[in-house]
Amino acid sequence: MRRSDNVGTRAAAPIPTDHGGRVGLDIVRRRVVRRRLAILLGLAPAIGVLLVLFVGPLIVALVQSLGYAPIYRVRAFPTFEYYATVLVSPRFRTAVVYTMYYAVVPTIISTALGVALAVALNRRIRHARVLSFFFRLPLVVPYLVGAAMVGALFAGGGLVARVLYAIGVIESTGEFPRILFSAGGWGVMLVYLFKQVPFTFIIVSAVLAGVGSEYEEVARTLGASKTKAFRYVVLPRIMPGVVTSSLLVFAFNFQSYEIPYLLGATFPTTLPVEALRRFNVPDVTRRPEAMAYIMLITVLSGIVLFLYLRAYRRWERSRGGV
Amino acid sequence: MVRLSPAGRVFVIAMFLVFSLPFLPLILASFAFRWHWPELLPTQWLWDVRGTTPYPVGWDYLFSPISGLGPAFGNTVVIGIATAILAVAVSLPAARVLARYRFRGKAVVEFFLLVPVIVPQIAVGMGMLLLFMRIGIARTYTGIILAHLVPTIPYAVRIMTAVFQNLDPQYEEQARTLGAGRLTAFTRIIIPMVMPGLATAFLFSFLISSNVFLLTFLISGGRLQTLPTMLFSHIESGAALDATTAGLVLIVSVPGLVFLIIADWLTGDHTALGRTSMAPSTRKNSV
Amino acid sequence: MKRKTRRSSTIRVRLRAFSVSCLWVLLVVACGESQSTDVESAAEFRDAFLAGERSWEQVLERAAQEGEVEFYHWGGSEALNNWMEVSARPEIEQNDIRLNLRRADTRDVVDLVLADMATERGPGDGTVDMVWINGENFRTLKDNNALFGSFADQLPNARYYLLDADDPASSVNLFDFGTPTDLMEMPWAAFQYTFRIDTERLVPEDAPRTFAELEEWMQENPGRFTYVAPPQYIGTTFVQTLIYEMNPDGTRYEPFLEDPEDIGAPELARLMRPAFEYLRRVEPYLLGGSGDPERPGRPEYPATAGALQSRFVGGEVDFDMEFGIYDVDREIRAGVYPETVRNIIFPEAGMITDKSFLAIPLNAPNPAAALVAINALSAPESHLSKLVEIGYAPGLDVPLLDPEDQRAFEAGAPDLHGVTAEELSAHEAPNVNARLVDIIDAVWMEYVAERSSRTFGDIVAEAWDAAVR
Repeated sequence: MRRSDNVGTRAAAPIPTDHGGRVGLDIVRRRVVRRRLAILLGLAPAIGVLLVLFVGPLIVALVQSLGYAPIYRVRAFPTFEYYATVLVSPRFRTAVVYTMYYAVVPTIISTALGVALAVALNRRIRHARVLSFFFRLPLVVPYLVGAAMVGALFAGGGLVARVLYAIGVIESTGEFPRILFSAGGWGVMLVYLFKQVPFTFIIVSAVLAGVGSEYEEVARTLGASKTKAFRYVVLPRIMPGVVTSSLLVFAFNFQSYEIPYLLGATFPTTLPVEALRRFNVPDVTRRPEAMAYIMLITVLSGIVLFLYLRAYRRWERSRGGV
Repeated sequence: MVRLSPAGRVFVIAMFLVFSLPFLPLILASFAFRWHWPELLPTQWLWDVRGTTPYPVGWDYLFSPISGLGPAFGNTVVIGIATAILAVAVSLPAARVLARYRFRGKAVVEFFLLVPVIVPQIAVGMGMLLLFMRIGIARTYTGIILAHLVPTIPYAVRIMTAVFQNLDPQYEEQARTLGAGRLTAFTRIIIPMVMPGLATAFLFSFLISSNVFLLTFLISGGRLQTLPTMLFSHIESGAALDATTAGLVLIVSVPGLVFLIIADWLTGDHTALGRTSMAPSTRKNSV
Repeated sequence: MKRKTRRSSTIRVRLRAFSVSCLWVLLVVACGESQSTDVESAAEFRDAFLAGERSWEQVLERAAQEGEVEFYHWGGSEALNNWMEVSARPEIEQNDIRLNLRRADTRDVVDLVLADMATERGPGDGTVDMVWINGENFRTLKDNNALFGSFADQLPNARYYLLDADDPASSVNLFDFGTPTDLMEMPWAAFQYTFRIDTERLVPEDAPRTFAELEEWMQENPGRFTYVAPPQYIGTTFVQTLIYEMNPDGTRYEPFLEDPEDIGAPELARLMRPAFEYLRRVEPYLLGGSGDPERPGRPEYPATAGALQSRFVGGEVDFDMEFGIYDVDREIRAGVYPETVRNIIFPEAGMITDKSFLAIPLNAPNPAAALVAINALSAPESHLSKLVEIGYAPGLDVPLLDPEDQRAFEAGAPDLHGVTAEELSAHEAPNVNARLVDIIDAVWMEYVAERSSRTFGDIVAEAWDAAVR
């Protein structure tokens, strides 16, 4: 921020003093134009690419969901028929509930665990480097790796069940709780946690590294209890990081396809899985329904994120008022 | 210095086990031939049955030309490198502008460059597939690389904006006053100075590309396999402790592992990953 | 005013003439460049071949010129992938054709062909040369006129197949889920739907032999059974098998071979109702069910055959089901199944038998190479190696072979582990009509998975509507 201010002042500094009249103004104007041009040219590639590759597809999907899909011989534009079909179907409503559930629960848990881990490791601790290397390992592998691990460990006949069987806690696979493929979705959530606790940890650690542990130490020497020091001194400082990470985690969980597809129940399932099922129906004239699905996913996810950010703003403002 | 309480220590160690141990059974499983319920350890290993199976299994299968691992690995690397180069090239000028200038609508631009991370990939992917089918680049390398730009550009811009913010613009000015052209100043002064940041952005873009599943899955239509799509079909159709799947999981983890080692070595700092990825946005999120 | 319009219209005509001639020039240039003049286009070749005007030598010659073939097949089996590489490749490539193996879900391949057709990519301009296919996927291609044509009887190796429309024994080669193949696909492998148990956990004598017995068994052993979710075909076939046994008229599969359009929705609902009521009734006793007949719980329906297999091997359920009578042998040797797994005869009312085929899409870029490749895969040696190495029962008709070759097939057949070939053939049943598959899937989804509160009749009527529309 400070630097960009400098640029502004420097750009103004060498302008000849005003008795030069027109010449000076010309230079100013040229500089302004050149500056604008630099900004435009600099931003153009990234914005342009995203307009074509990101906004373009969304527009295609929107147009199709409204009934214009000549490739499938559908030309009913504009119609809300596909949205209506989707919105009244009980499967859509079930999917909304499960999508929210699969997204929110792991977000809360991973945020709590990730923050705890970051705070714990913000102290001088032996082998911190090694530890943090392993904590970051899940972060750099695909979610599918997590899915394979959770599958190997928590399947009804997986390793955890085998250990419990070996020590006599369970007598058959039937007594092991249904973690994978069940509507409870624990398998899905475990994969999310495997990736997202480290993610939260990394982001919060980075913020903590900037904050340092001095404030907390001061608070503690002044007699604040451990929980009080955390709540009143540490937490407010890392809150922006916590909000960012939980926001990204939620946004990911809300739209994840492969994990609920592989480890969730066949039914009920989440919106993205339903959307792709709709996309794969043999009757191509029904594919605009899939487009309606993905538009609804996008809108829903946007609404939730917006509400979340607004709640955070309010919280911040109320704190600022105190 | 605040010391970690015993309870805290137990917590950290427990978490360490949770996040590092799951790799162990997969290493075991990748060498197992028979590992049925309720055995805690494999009853027969791959080397016990080598050559007697009707077809190669486990690592033998993976490293035979039949598995398609070679092409999938190659595709992942080629697509990753191409994506990273393009993402960095496209993001570099934008990052410089965002770090240097204040202008009207800056917040909007910053927001726009961030949304692809938040908007559901399935929405982008399905629309993109239809778009790419129209222009004839669905199921091609070009199509997949372009698709991978969407999730990579936001991160590349972020990382490099941070780099430019830490760079004193005076160097560029001085080069210019000493008679260097705009381009020369950029290539001779700026590029070398931002090289470490550029490398980080490149590596990070490569990492994201090598981990993307859904976009590749949708755009490739099964015609081009990458490591994640290959792993997906193995998990979809395989047993939990299947040797081939387990071996594949370990291989799919290689790019990430390499990234982690390089990143640590490059920055000499274990919090670098967080700082360079999303953390800068923590100064008052603009969303 | 009038003059002006006339003038502008003549200009328009001239412009059109000019652009048309430009197009011609372009076409001529393009054609001249892309192909030497003595090679006919794929469309011309197709017409000539189907009219019987091309000798096999000419086909071979053209195939060598095409130089490669794009073969799409389901790639979910390591055994099959290995066989393709080790056996199919040399058999095909000895004809100077490079084989490009593409692993894909068959439904995706159908989509690929249709998408190409939708963008007006006709003969010679498509992506897929040949595909392993059957059932509703074949029907979709056929309904969309997306197939190369009736080629099967023109291949030299057709002599090993019963393809005589007047001989009832040929029907398994000429009908695919009730759809006449019209020789547009070549039989490639034969499969029978079998159930497997692990004798370590379940003694064969205690294994149920009918669905009625299975229900009792489930009640005594809650949570030890489940089946693959339709629309995955292993799941759809399970439901089909049940529908046969529960047919209220006792005519088993007979009514379901007809086109559902002819059966009518109310009659179809009557015929299928007992089976679907069964499926709802047993839900509490499935894997993940409540065990309490009052509450269904949330039973688990694995999404793929592999997912069911992993639960079977993992000791969670006591039955596995798949197409392929020699699977047990192969999976034991590959370490997937424990050595104690056996086939069982279940259900006695009929174990579905079908063939799967190799088809050529209309827009195959290398049609001659596809013909040559399919012919190579139709040779007795190819079927024998497929049988011996990966346990796929031959798609050709063994009785048509030399006595010596017949003995080779007998000797090469893997162990059936627990059942005999006679028992299996005594319990054969055909597949349902292809158009019924989508109806069964849709009804299962709504009536069983979603536990819809609508009446069964309404659900069937809606699915029927969607299918015959």
